[in-house]
Amino acid sequence: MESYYHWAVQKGITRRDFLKFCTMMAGMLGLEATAIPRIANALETKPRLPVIYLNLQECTCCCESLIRSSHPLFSDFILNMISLDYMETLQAAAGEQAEAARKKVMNEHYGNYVLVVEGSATLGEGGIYCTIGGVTANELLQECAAGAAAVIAYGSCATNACIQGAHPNPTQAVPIRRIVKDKPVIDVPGCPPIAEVITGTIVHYITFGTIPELTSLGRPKAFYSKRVHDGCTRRAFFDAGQFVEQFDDEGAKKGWCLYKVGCKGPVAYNACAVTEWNDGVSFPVKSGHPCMACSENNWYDSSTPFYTHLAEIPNDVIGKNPDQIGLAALGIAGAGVIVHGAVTSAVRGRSNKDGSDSEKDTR
Amino acid sequence: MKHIAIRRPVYVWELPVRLFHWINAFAIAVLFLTGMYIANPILVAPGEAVMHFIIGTMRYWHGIAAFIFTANMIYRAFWFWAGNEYAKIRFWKKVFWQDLINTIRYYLFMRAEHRGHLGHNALAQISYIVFIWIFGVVMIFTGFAMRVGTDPSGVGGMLFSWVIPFMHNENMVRMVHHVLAWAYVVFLLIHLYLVFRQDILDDDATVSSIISGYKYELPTTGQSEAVHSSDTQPALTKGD
Repeated sequence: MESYYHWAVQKGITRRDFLKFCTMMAGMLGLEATAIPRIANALETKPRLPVIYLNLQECTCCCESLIRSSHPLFSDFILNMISLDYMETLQAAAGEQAEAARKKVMNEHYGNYVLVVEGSATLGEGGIYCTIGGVTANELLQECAAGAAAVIAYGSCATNACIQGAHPNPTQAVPIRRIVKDKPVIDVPGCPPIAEVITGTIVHYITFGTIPELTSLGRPKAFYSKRVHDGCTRRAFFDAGQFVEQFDDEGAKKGWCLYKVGCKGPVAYNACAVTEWNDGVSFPVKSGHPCMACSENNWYDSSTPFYTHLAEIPNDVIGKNPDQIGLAALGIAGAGVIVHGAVTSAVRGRSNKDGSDSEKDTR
Repeated sequence: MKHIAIRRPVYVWELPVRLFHWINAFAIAVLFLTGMYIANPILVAPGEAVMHFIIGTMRYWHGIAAFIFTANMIYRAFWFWAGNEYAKIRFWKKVFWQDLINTIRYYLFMRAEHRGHLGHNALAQISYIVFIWIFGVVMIFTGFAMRVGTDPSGVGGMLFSWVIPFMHNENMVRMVHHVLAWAYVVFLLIHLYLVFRQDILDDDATVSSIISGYKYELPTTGQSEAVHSSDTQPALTKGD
């Protein structure tokens, strides 16, 4: 099979552009300069990576994000450089032919292809809530994962079941990790995730033959080890204590911090603030909208209401926010102290009387 | 008051225990106030961002106090081993549980008297295990987890990066951290009430003992069963 570089030259990409791409990838992955020739070498020599892309229980926003990766080389990379052999949304084949193409790749490259999964698996009622080509999403996932070298769970549906996994989760949607247990799974969460993140993850895999270093949440460190808050363009206003109180106030015009109008950036591990979206044009907080922490587990339950300040979000179980719970507990304790103190003084008054009487007697 | 002449002062709280108490009280006060401010920043800084560092300062002192709090806890844990009998908790002994039942009955006015304790009674010890030790450890782990994040590299990552996946997401970590902060205020209220109540009822210098270290032995305390003890409420005997 032809290498990436070979393919790129055919497409009219110059050597200079190719090396620029390698350098950019190294930078994005947080690698040192010596990694650039290794990336270039890998892309020059290694055959194109076969990729099977499954769409399970999802809304296709991840796919929309993917095809909008705006740097020309990125989009080329996604759509052409990897050998994207099965992707229902984009492939020309349909029906039997599509499934046949998938099976062919799986047989020919058994153990060597990368499986990208968009959407969650579903366990409810034996998995009937999502069936593709006559089999349930779970069966399809297990079948494809069996021969995969690595599995990339792309998007919040695949990493944390996203909206369909929100309470009460009627279809019993579960993350890919819960189904695929014997293969390395890389979580690339977000609703949708940033396209460049998956590009970077695949380049890392091609270059080093291993999955990238992961955070404790199973996400590539290069993109997910910092919070949106940590790299936020409005962070200076947070530290200074300057907050937007309402979307139309003076602070909003000055671009102050959106913490108090519901920004969940302080709990969101994502690359938005650094990589940004649409070729680095902007990201939600920069554009004036609070972060929703869409990359986090159970975010539909824990980030809502979206425009409520983080500390005032009610607890999922009790339905009150921490301050209400704390003040209620303090009130109960205070009432208890007052009652106990009153009873103590009543009891003591009586026993003192008894005591002094008896002392008098003994004297 | 009539007892003072005949009562013997006993050195109950050693200096390390008293230091722990006050450092802990100071650290918790700073942590609570700065923490609540970080959660609900009420002041609006006027002018340009470059002129202020309000939340940044709060976070800075929250962090300083957190390290002091943690170091202090480790120091106290050591003193369970190194300290005198009053510095220990022996909850595996039968007498501890007997004392617990007796103390609870005493506080529910079901017993007019209770056995004197120079140190802590069993109920007080349980409350410290829960509020200071269990909640304290949860606060330390959730707090540092939010400082460290999910990057498992380094010492901090090794110790704390598992907490966020364990609690599912960082929002839950924050929620737990925030709710437990209130537990300390509830504890403070009950703690102060019981300490002053004890001092008033038995006049055994409970309140000043945390500064001087000395408490007055009650007539009924002679058996010095130091296994279980009480700072909050030693003996209340009939005619006391």
